[in-house]
Amino acid sequence: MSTLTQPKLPTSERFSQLFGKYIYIAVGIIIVILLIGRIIFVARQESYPLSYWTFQVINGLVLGGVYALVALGYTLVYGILFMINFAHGEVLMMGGFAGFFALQYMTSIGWANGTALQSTLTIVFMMLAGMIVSVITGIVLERLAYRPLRGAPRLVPLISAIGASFFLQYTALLVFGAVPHNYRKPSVIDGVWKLGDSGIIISYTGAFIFITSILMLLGLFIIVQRTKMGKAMRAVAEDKHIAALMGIDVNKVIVFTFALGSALAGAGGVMLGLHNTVIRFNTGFLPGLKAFTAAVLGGIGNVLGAMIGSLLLGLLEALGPSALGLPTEYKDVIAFSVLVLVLIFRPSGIVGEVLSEKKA
Amino acid sequence: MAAILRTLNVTKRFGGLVAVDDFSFEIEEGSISSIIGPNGAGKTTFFNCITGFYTPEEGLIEFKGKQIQALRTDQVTKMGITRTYQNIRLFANMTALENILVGMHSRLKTWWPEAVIGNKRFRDEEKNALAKAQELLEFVNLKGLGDQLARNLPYGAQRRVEIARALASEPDLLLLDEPTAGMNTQESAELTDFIRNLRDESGITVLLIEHDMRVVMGISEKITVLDYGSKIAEGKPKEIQNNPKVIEAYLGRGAASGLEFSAA
Amino acid sequence: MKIKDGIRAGFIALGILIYLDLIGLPKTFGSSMVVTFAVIVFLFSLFSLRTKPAEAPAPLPSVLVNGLIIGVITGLGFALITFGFASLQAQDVKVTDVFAQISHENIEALTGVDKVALREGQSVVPGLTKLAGYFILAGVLGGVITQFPASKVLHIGDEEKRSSARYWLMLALPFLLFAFFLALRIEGVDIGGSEENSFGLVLIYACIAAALFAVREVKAGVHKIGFSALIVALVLVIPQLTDLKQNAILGAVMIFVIMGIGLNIVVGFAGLLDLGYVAFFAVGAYTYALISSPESYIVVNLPWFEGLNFWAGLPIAVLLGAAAGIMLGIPVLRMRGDYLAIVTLGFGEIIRLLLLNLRDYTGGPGGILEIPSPNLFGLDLGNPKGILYLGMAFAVIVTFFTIRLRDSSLGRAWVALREDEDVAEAMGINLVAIKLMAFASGAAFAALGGTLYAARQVNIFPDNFALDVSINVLSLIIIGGIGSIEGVVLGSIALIGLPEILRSVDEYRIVAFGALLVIMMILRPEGFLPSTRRARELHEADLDSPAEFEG
Repeated sequence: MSTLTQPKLPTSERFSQLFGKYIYIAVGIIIVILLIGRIIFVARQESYPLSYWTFQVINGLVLGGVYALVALGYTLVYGILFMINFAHGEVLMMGGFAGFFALQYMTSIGWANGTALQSTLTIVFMMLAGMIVSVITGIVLERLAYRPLRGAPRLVPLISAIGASFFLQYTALLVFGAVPHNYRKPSVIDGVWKLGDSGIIISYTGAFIFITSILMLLGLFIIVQRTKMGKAMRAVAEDKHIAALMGIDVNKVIVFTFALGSALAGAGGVMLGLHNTVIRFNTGFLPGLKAFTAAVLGGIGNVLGAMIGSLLLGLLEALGPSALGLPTEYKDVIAFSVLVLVLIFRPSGIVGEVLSEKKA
Repeated sequence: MAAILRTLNVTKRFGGLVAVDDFSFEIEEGSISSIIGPNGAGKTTFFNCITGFYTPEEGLIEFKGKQIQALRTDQVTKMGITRTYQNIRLFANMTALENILVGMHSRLKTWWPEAVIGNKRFRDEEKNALAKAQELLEFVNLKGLGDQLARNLPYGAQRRVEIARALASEPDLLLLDEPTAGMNTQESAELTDFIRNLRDESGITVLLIEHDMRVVMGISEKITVLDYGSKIAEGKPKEIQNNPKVIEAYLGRGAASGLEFSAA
Repeated sequence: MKIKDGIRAGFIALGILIYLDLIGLPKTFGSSMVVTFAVIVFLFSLFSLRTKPAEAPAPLPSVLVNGLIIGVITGLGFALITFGFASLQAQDVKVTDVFAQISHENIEALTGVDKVALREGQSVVPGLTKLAGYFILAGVLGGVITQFPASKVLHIGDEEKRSSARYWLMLALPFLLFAFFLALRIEGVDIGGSEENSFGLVLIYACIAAALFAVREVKAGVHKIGFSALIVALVLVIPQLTDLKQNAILGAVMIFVIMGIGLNIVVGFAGLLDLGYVAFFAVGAYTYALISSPESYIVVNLPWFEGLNFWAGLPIAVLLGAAAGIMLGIPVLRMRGDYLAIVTLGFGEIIRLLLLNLRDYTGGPGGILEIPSPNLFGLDLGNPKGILYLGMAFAVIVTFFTIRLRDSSLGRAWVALREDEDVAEAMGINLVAIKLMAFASGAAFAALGGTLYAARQVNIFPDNFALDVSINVLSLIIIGGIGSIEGVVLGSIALIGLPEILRSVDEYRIVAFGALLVIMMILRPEGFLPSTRRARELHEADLDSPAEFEG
């Protein structure tokens, strides 16, 4: 048996084998070193004041909160159906429009800028309108575009989703017109806190968005972890057939999942409207992609991962361009590069199980 | 006789689970050997280690005097090991003939630009490949069924196409993962004869994983028993049949009486 | 047919009509939409009340009642909603703030009452009564028609044996259509490429489509050779007979055919879903632009370099495209399915954003201008006709290349990869090599298309290379029939050619296109002219597992 201890593999093959195994790690390390080098280089050259960085951090957290709401829709649906709901961004956009019209109405009766209570109720009404319309959109989408395709090869529902996305986007363009609709903030969240002389500014809207999204995420967490429906959802995600045998109505669970994801997206749409102060027919597309990125970053199919991934992506987007000394237009490039890098080096995401590589 | 395949202390873990534990064995060139063991004993994992689908954490695998444990699956195939699968894995939407042609992939030498130009070497090679595929089809008694989609073939025929596809790569060692699973007694007997003929005629070494004890005892020259990833016994069929450790491994799990076990 | 079903059908029809109203069809197309809507009600009634193959025919009274119900629900419902909108407008409420298309033109088209009259208090009720009447009539009529045997023609799924006459008609159809086109030309009928009159182009499309279907049916041997020769002659002659604008549109179709064939290798053969295909199109176009245009960064900054001509630039662009395919392919080697789709989508966006933001090199949003046109032995090909012929030549080369690869061991390996990656590797296939080969050849073809595109456009901008190009190419191979080359041509005509004629109703075409993708996936996921293998695969689910979770 002593012969076995002597490696006899041809050198070239051994090399290629080693190469294949370690190239990912090597390239990863090189990229990290380059990035750190660039950040240090930039930091020594130009220095932004502390208030600028705090502003960006807050901005990033707010954006991350909105992404999280949307990312959860992707993650929930992916967890259960293993499909990317490409039209999820459009569900968000529909919610945004509903919120806008609700705001229009409340403004016209004077509540949006009325007393603090009236103004608060305006926001509640907007959120509800956005969520309801998004839920309807999501359920109809599932019923018409996805359910007939369950069990088909994966390319098929993806194409259907792409079609649905185009359909919804351009329907919105035709029905609501191409002009951007301006959100005027209700008076209660219109304004800023100034923290002493430090120059740090926190907008009421930002605080509202961040806190509300965290609360909604907590609510979702409770639904998924504690309720009977949540348990059913997790069971269906694990194995549809077995779940059905256990007496779970799989269709009902799937519809509920879509409704849940869409409700969050609707809320996200309204918040995005308040954040950007404007909404258009294509408002949903980019945030949709970004939220998907965030979901992947955290580990798709994983609820906690989506939240962490979203906050991280929001921060990366807000801080990345300045830290790397690039103009802010590069924030989208950074977001997509993050997506690509994560999928290459850690396809299971930050929190995801390693198994998902095989599943994918 | 020389050993064609040798393994030394092969260990494969999945997280905390040790699927194959410090497993050493060897098989002789031109022999028919079997690996048996209860479900989950690590038999298929061991196959996957040999073919390079998994890389074992520890240990060495030597084939025809060369170490192969670090090679990719396709490189292992090129060296002369092919396998079939427990649950038949044909390319369902390709015809039987196309399946066999894919099996021949590693033996086709022409480069793609030759295919684009359509030079003589390419045309000759394609013609020979097709003739050989037809021959293999005939060899597994499926003459005339070459244009059938793999998934439309009856179960037994699918098994045989899978074997033909494996043979197409001109292996020196053929790994069969439960070849008689789902077959009735007569079909199993036919397949057993077929495997024996195959070895006698072409000298291919065969290693089986099998649950059907009648097949195992009838065909194997050497049997290795795995339990919890470790070797618990090895020897000729007679020796295995009477080995108390083997009987315990099976009966200890509350399985059926005797040594007759149906496929998982 | 129960009353409940009639009510259900009525409300669905009403929903569709309201949708069409909201997206502005009446506003755009005027009062003709009243009749069109009535026809929709009629068709809906006809289809929902028809006797399904497995059912006993319903008695006349039941069908009539249901037809009436459909008519009444749609008629009254639609009239009520329009009445509501009209009253709001009469009170000067700006409905268009919410529903952009519900302007006074909309009310005028539907009721015949114009803006001024509406303000002055003229009632819309007579107009709406007429409209509701039409709808009710249409609903009942649809019910009545179901009672006649002629409606049996509409039963989809009757399999007819193809007779010899049908075979010959199929072969003759492309030539008949072409003859019709020719006759119109000779007679001097205006069938030009303008937006108002694009009948000529529609005939050409129909002719090519008919040829594509006929090619599948034609028997091998003399038939095939003769037919193919005639079709080739016909295709060569077409650009001589069409006008400038028509040739420009056909040129765009050709560019997408080239790209479609390339993506077909990646998605159709190897099963690697690439949503960032536009990246390679952009690499081709920008490479050629950068090394040829006198305005480009390279030519401006290298004093000794005066820019290459088309024939020198083309191979460089194609090779760089293939290299880009390999470079983007390496990191995604380990990925499967959806992840691959999303990463490639990300790549596509990154490339576009880089083109937009690397202002110094790519000119940013201002693009690269004055890209030289191709010429051949002194013959200027920089006109629509030249580009079209060039595109046709490239498409033939690309098709040849693709077919040869498909029928080699590489082609079989691609299919094996798509079917089962693990087993393919166990069969001795080097997955890395064949995946990269698929990415590289797909990317090379896209770069070829991009080079031609740059030469055709003369000026290129980052916005030409947005995600919708990827989506278009993917959709066209899916609608045409994945894995098949005839399908790519058909898909390009349907998705690139037809919409070019309908530029004036751009938004409608995208809405219709989105709906078409969804409907297509549900009814015919293999496309119109699929490769037989892909058709089998996409219906696999129907055969293998009964649809347990369908509701």
